[in-house]
Formats: sequence, C-alpha cells, structure tokens
Amino acid sequence: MLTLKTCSNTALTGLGIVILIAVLFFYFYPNAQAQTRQSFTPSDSFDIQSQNGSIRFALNGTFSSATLENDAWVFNDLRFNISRPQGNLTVSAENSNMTIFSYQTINFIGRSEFLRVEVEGLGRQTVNLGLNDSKPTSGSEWSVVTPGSVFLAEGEGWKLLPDNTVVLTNLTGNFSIVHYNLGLNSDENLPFYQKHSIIIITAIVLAFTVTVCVVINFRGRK
Amino acid sequence: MFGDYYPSIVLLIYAIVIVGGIILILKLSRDKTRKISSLRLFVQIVALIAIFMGLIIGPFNQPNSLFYPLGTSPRDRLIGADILGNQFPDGISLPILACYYPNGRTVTCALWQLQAYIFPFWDYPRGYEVIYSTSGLEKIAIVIGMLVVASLLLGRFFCGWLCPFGLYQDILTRIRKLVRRRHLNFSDKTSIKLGQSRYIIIAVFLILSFIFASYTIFGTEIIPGTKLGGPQGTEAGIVSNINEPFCLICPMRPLCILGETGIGQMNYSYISQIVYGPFWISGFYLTSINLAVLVAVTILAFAYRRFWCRICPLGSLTALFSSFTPFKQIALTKLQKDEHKCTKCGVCKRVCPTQATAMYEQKGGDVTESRCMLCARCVEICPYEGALKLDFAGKTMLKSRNWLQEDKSIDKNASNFSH
Repeated sequence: MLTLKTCSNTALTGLGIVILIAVLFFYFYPNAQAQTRQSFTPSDSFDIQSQNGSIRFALNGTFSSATLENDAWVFNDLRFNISRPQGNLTVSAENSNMTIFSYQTINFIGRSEFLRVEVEGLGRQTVNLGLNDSKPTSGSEWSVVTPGSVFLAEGEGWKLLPDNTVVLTNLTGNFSIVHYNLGLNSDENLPFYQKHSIIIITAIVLAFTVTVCVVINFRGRK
Repeated sequence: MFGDYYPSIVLLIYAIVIVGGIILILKLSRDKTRKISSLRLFVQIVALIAIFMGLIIGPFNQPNSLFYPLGTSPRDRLIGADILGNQFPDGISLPILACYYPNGRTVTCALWQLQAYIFPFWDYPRGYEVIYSTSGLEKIAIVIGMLVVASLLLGRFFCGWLCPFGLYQDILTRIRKLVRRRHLNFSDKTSIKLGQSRYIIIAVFLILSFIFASYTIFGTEIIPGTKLGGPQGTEAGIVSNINEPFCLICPMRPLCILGETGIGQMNYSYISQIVYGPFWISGFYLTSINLAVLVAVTILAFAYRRFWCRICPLGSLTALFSSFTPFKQIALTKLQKDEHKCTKCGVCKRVCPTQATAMYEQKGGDVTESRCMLCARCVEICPYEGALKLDFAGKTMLKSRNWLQEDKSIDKNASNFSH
C-alpha cells in the first residue's frame, strides 16, 4: 500500500531522476547553441547583385553561416526565433525580391517541409529546402500554394530540378512551397525488415508483454 | 525569451508539477475516503494536458503559415513521429478518447485509427494525398497490437484514470454534488445490458466502415454514393465524411473542438466555414449528430455517473483484451478481494460509478470485470483493511484501509489533548 514515507522517498527519487534527465537534455539539446551563430533581422538584405535580386527575412533568426554560392544564398542551420532548427536553405532571386516568412518542418502527411515567401517583381527564384534525402523526389510530392489554397501543379509557374531545387518563374505575391514527405521513392529498395519495422517491433513488444504477464501471473499463483 | 529551450522548460516544469502534486495530495489529504479520488483527479488533469501537450509546446503556426487558418497551435505533436515515420504516421494508439480532430495531440484514439485504416480512402493519390507506406491491414494489426499491450498492462485503468472524456464526466459528477443532487442508478438488468451494448456498438461501426469502404476494397458499392471521386466538395467529399462513421456521432469530437476554440487554440471560422455534403454536416470537423450526442451524454452523465463509459465502444475493446479469458488470466492490473475480510456491507457496490457488482458478488480473488474501470473508488471507501486491493504485476498499489477505526482514534486523541 502507498504509505506516506514510501511515497515521499519514491517521489523524491523520481524528482531527482527527472531533474537529472532535464539537465542532460538541456546539455545535449540543442547542440547548435555551442556553435557560433549569426543573427539576422528583417532589416538585413542578402543581395544577389549579378542577378538584380535580394533575399530578406520577415522575422528575426539565426544561422551558423550564410554564403553566396553560384548566385544563390546558402543559409546553414537556419532557424527563426522560438522555433526548432530547420536545416539548410538555399535560395536565389533574379530580377525580383523575395521575403521569407516562415520555414518549417511539420508532422503532416509524414514530415513535410514548407517555406512561406512573398515575391516582388516578375522574375525567377530558386528554392532548395535542404532535404535530408539526397535522392531526386517526384514532382507530385511538391506543391506551390497561393493564397486561397490554390495548389499549383508542376508546370504552373514552377518546376523541379533533379537536385530537388524548385524553380519559380513569374510568380509574385505570397505563396508557400511545400514538400510532402510521401516517401514515394525511399522505401522501394529497403529490405523487408526495414519496410515493415513498425509491425515487427509491435509484434516483439506484444510477445514480450505477454511473456512477462504470463510469468508474473504464474509466479503469483505459486 | 527562451528560444529553442522553450519546449524543454515547459516539459521540466510539467514534470516537477506532477511529482510535487502527487506528494502534496498524499501528504496533505486528510480525508481518507477522498485521497485516492483526489489523486485520480490530479492524474486525469495531468493526462489531459499530456494528451494535448502540443497546444503548449508548439511549434506554433506563424500568421503566414499553411496551417494558421486552423489555429495557432500545431496540428499535432505526436510522440515517436520520427520513429513511426510513414509506416504509421498517425501516432501511438491508446485506448482513450484522444480525439484525432483537435490540435496539439500527442497520441491517437485507437478507434479512429481502426476506422481510418479499414477505409483506405487515405491512400495516395486519392483524397487528401496522405501517404502511408504500409497497407491498411498492416496498420490495423499495429493498432490491435498496441491495444493488446496497453490492455494487458493497465486494462481499463485507462478509462478510470487517463481518458479525457472520463474527466469530463467526473467534473459533471462533481457539479451535481455541488448542487446537492443525488445520482440515479440503472437497474442491475439494465446495467448489464448497457455493458453488453458496447460490443454491439463497436461491431456495428466497424462493419459500417467496411460497408462504406466496399468500393475501395472490393470494387463494388454496397451503398450507393460511396464510390470515391475527386477532392473535397464533391462526391468524395461526402464519402470522406463517413469514412470514420463512429466519429460522426462521438461526443468527444465536438467537446475537444469547441473546447479548443473556446480557449483560442482553434479558429472556429475555419471549422465552421468549410461545409459540404449532407445537411447534417455542421462544419469541417463537426456534425449536428456529434453535437446532439454530446448534449444527450452530458445530461445523462450528470444524472448517471460515468454514463458514456457504460456504452463506450473503445472501453469495450479494452475490456475485451483485459477482462475476458484468456487475457484476464494474464492481465497485470487487477482488483483483488480478500473474502475473509469482506463483511458484505455493500458499500463498494453503492459507490461504483459504473455499477459493477463483481467486487460484491464474487467470493474472492480477481474480481475485475468488464464494467469495472479500476477507478479504485471501492478500494477507497471499503472500511475493512485489505478487503479490496488494486494490484499491478502482483504488487499491491492501493488497498482499503480501516478508515472508520482511524477516524475514531484520531477523534479520541483529539479529545485527550483538549483535556
């Protein structure tokens, strides 16, 4: 039975474990805090002079580095304040100005990434969301969504390159570039146990639980 | 201010509050007949927050984000999402009404998942472009596996201590007591029939899921109008409203949605403006049937303690895997009775919210029955030391105490002191 003394000891031990885990958790997450980071604000402009374009952010944030490579800005370990680290974003703008409002990974239709932007000026923009999967993705995994929830299919102002860069042409205003992590190509060549890992794990856990229950009840009856 | 540490700080505070709350309740609660009830209420509130933890720890939708129209809170914050991946992206199945529809949930109602996976409307590229890399059959097997594990470990403890709709009903009970109204009871015969009706309800709705999915599964429409078509607003939009038939009537759905809308975590305009299909569709996530059932259950739960739990189909699944042979023999959480200490006073039967009777009628041993939701109210109120016990894995967690004698001795000491 729960006596007061037993509960206090157990509770204090539990509290200690929780605090220890929390301290370790803070220590390891996010590890990027140990690195030198640079901050940006909405007033900062990342110009691409050779293409007469610029990139801005609508919110404050930080990145570990920002370099101009092949007329595109590469922002490493980009994050907006009060958000989780998002990853590496590569963007460019030609004859236009792009303002980035949000860059998020969300649990929707698998893990989906999306970038919300506003573009001024008729021109050409490129966006690479820095997907972990380096394999080419299918155009059906992407959408460009305009206000009013109009989903533009590939060919309607945008196209997808083999390196998963989205090229936007003559689109202006607010829109989102969304990648649905459908995993269409990623599971094809996996071995059986990886393709069905969840059901295998569930079956193992179930078997273990039943075994433990049988043992406990059998010993109790003895 | 706290930047990326924000979710971690919230979780740490949450953990400290849980431990501190349990200590305080056990230390400070003087009324021996309410200690377990107070602890249970606290655990229920903790569970409610944990189930919808995403509302607190985000990440929150920015004004220009894709999901901002739905609300500022994340659509979900599923535990283990990275591990479950596209094989099982809807979250861990638990036998509680952790409704799929509101924002911020961390786990998922097993009943929604069973229905959704029977009806393979979600297969790409139809419907909402939701992709699963596993078949419907495999996903159903995973749900049942998780249900069996949960039921063997805790049984209907989920119903008594963790289910958010159980908390709602318990609050109604407390309100009734505040206004000094006595609860009503069903006759024993009615109570038994209500308990049996749960199994009929779940069978009906799972069969309905098959019927509505007949075209997708077998290529034949059993009911006209259930053939899949285009996106929402069309025939498929109508179909998409019936692919989880039980959710059309479940009272938890409107309670969650209206509750979150009331606290500003969901935008009601988004929910109410998207209306398509039959007249009984009240909004994107609501039907008039949902609302009517919620009102009816609220009234009935006010009068009859834990009314919904007597007919809950999800509770029937849990009971199936914990209270019937062979599962009953090996389930870890049990209500045990010592027949030598029981005097058949009948107080356990009187206080049981679901009118379970096994702890009174059966002689001794394991007296867990399918109607019992292991709330331990009988253990709390039984005045005979050790007559009733709530055991887990053979160890006694809670047992009845001779609180009558203890109160008398406290009074005696108090009177000695005053003299």
